[in-house]
Amino acid sequence: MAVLLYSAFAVVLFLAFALLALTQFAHRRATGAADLPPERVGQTRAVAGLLVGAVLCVTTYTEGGGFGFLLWVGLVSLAACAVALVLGWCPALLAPLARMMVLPASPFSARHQPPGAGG
Amino acid sequence: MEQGFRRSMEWLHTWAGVVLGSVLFAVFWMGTLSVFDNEIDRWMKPATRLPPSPQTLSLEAFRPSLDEAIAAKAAFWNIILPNDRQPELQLRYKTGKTFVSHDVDPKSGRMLPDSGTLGGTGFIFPFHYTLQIELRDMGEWVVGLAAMAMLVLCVSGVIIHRKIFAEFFTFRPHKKSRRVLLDLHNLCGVLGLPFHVFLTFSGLVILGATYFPAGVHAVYANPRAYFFDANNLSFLAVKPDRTAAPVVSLDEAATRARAMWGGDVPQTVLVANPGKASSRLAFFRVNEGHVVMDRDVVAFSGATGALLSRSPPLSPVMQAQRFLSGLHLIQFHHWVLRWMYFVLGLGSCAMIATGFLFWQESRRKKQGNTFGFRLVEGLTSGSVTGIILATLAFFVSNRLLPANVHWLGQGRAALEVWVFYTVWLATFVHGWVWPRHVWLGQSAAIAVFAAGAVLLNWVTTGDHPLRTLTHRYLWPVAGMDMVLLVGAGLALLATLRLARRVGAHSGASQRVEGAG
Repeated sequence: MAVLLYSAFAVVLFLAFALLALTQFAHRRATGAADLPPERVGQTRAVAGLLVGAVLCVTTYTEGGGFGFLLWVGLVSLAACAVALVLGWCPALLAPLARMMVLPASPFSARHQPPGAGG
Repeated sequence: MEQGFRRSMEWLHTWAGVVLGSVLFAVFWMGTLSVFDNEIDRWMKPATRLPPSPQTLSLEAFRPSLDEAIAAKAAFWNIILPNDRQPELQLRYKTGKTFVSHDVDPKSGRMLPDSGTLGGTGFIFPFHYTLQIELRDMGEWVVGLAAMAMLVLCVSGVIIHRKIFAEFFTFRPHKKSRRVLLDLHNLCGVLGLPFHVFLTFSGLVILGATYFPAGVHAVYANPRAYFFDANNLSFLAVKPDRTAAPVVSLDEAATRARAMWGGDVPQTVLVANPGKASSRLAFFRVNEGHVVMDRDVVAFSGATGALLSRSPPLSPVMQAQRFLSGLHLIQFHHWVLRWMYFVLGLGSCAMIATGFLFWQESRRKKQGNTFGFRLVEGLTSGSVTGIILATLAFFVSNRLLPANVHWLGQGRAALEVWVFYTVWLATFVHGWVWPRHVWLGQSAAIAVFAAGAVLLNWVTTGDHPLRTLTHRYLWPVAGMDMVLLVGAGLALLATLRLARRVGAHSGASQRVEGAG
């Protein structure tokens, strides 16, 4: 059970950092995805920030203040590092996520997108 | 103005790193290994690879050892009871300046044969904070200086990183080696920044009394009083009464201590001044359930069994101190966090190593033949691959040296340490005398030594990886073997890449000469 929980934390943090990285032009280019409009960049970063914060809340709730905080700090470092290594060695792995970020109906889009937004 | 400031920080970062990088790498490398110091002990002391026992002997079963200590006029006698990471029971007493220490099978009470090694807890962990230099606490002072430099390096590193957010996730493995080294240095530095800062700062706090003795002098009459207070040992400050008096029943006192702790078992039992009227019998419990190092001590009179004291609740300031100590010393029970510390510690080592290598790659063309460059080059190889090789030689010697060997007046444990220092020194000499292929040679040696250590463990104990993986109580050995094998694989990969590079360079040189 604990293994599943820790894996879930790691996956969510990896996703959050992948979203943050994929708001940057250099990494979008590496994944072969179109550039993001500025408002989508802001929305995506807000979602990523919420995910990182949510993991902190859940780790401190399930593990207690001390262990939860340490676990979160460690996982944040390792997840961000994993994103950097994936982008360096095999950016194609993140291409589907990068493409999903420009879809009008993606979870990172605003409710009313102007026509043609998202490149 | 801003450029001038940044340039000053760049200078500070470069030279603090070059001058103290060797010490920092040694401290971080040994600290990273210390995360698993008990597990390293299991690997280095095969006699202590014991299956867990549901029931241990009663404390009174060890009364003969206590009587032996009383007869030897020991200053103290103690038992460290087995736990999740340490299956053997440890009996110790001290007479004069001599420590008598025995590992015991907790199920049968049988004395285990002397392992003849200091292991992880006796060599690697103390090396982490003393560099094994005991003269006037010089080692602790050097480590403290390096720790202060590490904090300076962290701050100056953030200031000089021109695009800290733009290059937050930047790693370009296909670029030139200089670029790759800088990317790796930045990646390990920035993403591991909280870990570097927390661990370095908490390390300074733990040894705060050494570095800032003025605070201790202001509050306590002498350092001994501070030591007693800080370690919940105030019950030891007693006027000695040399009248002979037997020690009361250990089991009965333990039952009373357990009742006070709601059933929790003690981890250490201490009898100070055993056999005297002023003797003290104390039970120590460490709460492994949280980060704060909450050590509860219940003390009785050894002669009468009267309750003398129990640790008071921690004040907020002490709680903060104990949180930082706990965060650094990892006495808590959390395997995921323990492994995370290990991986992040390796990240810190990688950051220091890539910083050193980047310094060299940036200057190799222009200053490659200067004395200063050659000095740092040799220093780097000895500090990075050298200490890794020396540690592996320490492990290999542990499996190769015969039991009870004595040479030049040195026992087995001391000889292992001599092997460590000899190999370490040799790697520095190698770097200074043959700098051309130093990385290739030392990487290849690391691969051979790491794989050799696993093989030797198998041959000398019969505990091959398949056996250790399938027996729960041998997992510490399996973990160590797996880490050694992964290390051997990575070192082999590095060797092959370096060999290819050397081959390409010499091919290009031959073509240039042929064309000339």
